[in-house]
Order: sequence, then structure tokens, then C-alpha cells
Amino acid sequence: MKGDNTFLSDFDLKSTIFEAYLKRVTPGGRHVILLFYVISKYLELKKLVKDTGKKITPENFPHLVPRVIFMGGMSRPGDKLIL
Amino acid sequence: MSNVLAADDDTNKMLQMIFLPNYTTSKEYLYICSLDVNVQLILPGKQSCATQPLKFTMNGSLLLGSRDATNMRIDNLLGKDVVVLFGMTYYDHLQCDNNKRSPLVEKITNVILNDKIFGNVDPLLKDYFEQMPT
Repeated sequence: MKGDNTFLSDFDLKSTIFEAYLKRVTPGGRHVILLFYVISKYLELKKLVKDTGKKITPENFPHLVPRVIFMGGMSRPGDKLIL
Repeated sequence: MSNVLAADDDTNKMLQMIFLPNYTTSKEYLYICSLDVNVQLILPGKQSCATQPLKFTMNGSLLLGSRDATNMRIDNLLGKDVVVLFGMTYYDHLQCDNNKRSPLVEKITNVILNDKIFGNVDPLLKDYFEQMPT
């Protein structure tokens, strides 16, 4: 992805929703909640592909909005995942 | 996960994910002014999201989050126009049975651990998913 000029070139950036979850990576594992959120969105789209047989593009589904999700974080040295 | 989403031709024109490594508050000014939705998904009562939602909301992004301290305060002050909250409060968490998982969490955990769409899972993370409540 780094240095890839074609990344997001298919997106109409004016109509895209930019979401972000920018936090320090903590031992509690709160970034996992965002991963669950993204996977649930992905599974919804895959279900739509399965039901309709079409690729999910803005032309095929004009009522859906493209979405780009940022996840940011850095951990402290010595952090361990709490189980 | 980002690579999987980018490689899937069915959905990659609608959903993408970008990881920003080494994110610190000193780089926050690059993102704060440009976001549409500010996601504050945290477990109520566990870790507060502190002042970050204030900074994002003051710069015009919508707040999507769980019912935690700062999110609820912003909700009380600004109302439903800019804040969308969902889920249980801390006191609801105390009363609910933490050994039960919701069907959606169960389904997503299955996708991660058994279907392996997103590659092999680290053993430590596997334990975390198996013991994770609700």
C-alpha cells in the first residue's frame, strides 16, 4: 500500500465517508472492537454480493456510501495483552 | 485485514481500511480536521476516551460511539444531531451475564478463528478471542 499511487484511485473522495479510530494501543485490546466493526461491515457487503450476484460498486448500489476507515495506534514498551 | 479488504474485488470499491503506524497526539492535527466520522468504540467503565471526542467533534466530525463518560456528556450538550450512541451503559454491563456472547460477536469470532479469511491468528490473540466476553 505504501507508495502505491493507484490506492483509493477508484474512490470518489467527495462522497466517501472517512472514519477514524485513533488511539493508543492499550493492554485492554480496545482496537479489537474496531476490527469487529470492520468485519461486520465486510460481512454485510459480502452477504449483499451473495444475495444480488453483483459487485459492490457505487454504480450498482447508488444508495450505499463508500467508506474508508483509519486505524491508528502505538503501544508503550512493556505492554502485554490482558487476558 | 487491510490487505484482504484491498484484494477483494467484490467490495474494495466500497470499503477500505488503512493502518496508521506510530500514531501519537503530535500527529493528531493531520487527521482531526479531515474526518467525517469519529469512532469511539470502547467498553464503558473500562478505559475512558478522555478528551479526544471533544477535539474531533469541535472540528465538525460526527461522533459514533458507545455509552461512555465523555460520549454521554457530549450527547447531553449537543444532542442527536452530531452524536450517535449505542450499546449498554456501565451499570447495564454490571447486571448482564458476561459469559454469554451476542450472536454477532460469535459469528465474527468464528470468521476470524475458523474461516481464516484474514490469515492465521496469533496463539495469544486466539486465547483473547476465546475468552472475550459479550
